[in-house]
Amino acid sequence: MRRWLRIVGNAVFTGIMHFIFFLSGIGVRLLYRGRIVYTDPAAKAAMQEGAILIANHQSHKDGFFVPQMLWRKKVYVLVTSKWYNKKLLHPMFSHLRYIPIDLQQTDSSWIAQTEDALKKGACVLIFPEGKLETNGVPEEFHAGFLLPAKHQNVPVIPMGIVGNYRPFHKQTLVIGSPLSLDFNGKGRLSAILERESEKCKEQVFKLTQWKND
Amino acid sequence: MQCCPVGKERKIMNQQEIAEKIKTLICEQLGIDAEDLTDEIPLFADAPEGLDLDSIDSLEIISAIDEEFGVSMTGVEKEVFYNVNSLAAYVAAHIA
Repeated sequence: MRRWLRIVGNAVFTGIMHFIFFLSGIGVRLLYRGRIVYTDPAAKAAMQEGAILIANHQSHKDGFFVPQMLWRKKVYVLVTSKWYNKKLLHPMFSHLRYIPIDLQQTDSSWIAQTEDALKKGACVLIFPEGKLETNGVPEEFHAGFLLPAKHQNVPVIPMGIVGNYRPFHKQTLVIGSPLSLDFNGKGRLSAILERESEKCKEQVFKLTQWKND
Repeated sequence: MQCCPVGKERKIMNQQEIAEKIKTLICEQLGIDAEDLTDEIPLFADAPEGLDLDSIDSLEIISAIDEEFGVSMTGVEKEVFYNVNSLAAYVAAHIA
């Protein structure tokens, strides 16, 4: 009986969290005049089947802004366990589509969870810099973000988050073309991933130059 | 001799066979030449004493071992990743 109540309670709480998340998304779009710009219609189609989404990371709001703007699609977000496990945030993160990654140790559980999400046709948003940019300068990309894309053979779609989250000023999510990455080259895996990661970084950086008119 | 995880069809493997399988996985997944990989060579030490693998390689090793043997290695001590022998010993001890 208790176990059944716990399951039902959990499901109800998850539903409530999703509903609150959806309502807050309306607020986000009104407050920040959020909009999406697709530079290539192929990205829309690619996202239907599951894809890795990568974006610049300039604010903690990014992890809420992107899934709320893409609310019609199932978007999971990778978040560091430092934030995932915070007392006030954990109930929200654990009941919404957030996947924790522990950057302090060799943690591969995020890869399995990411691949599970991709297999279900969902998209997974990763911030390859692994931390916030300082002064708008892009940080180095940690190439490990490409491992799920390599394992599951899904596209990587670069996105640029343009704007400073100033209320009533435009905040734009610029979505680029799915990238054709080559994981089959000769040589060490880490060298191949670093090379492909550089391509991804260039594309993300280009998209962040979008004019927010 | 250890049995393999329930649910997957695998034959019973001893530690030596596990080590051979791990070497195959490392060569295939990480692009390492089979000639360069022995059971004792340090995986993460700088060349020429070691293979100079990095954190990305460790993630791939963990994923490959989880997929192949059903043994989770997240959070395992660094010493387990010292060489193929230490990995094989850990996997052999933790295969259910």
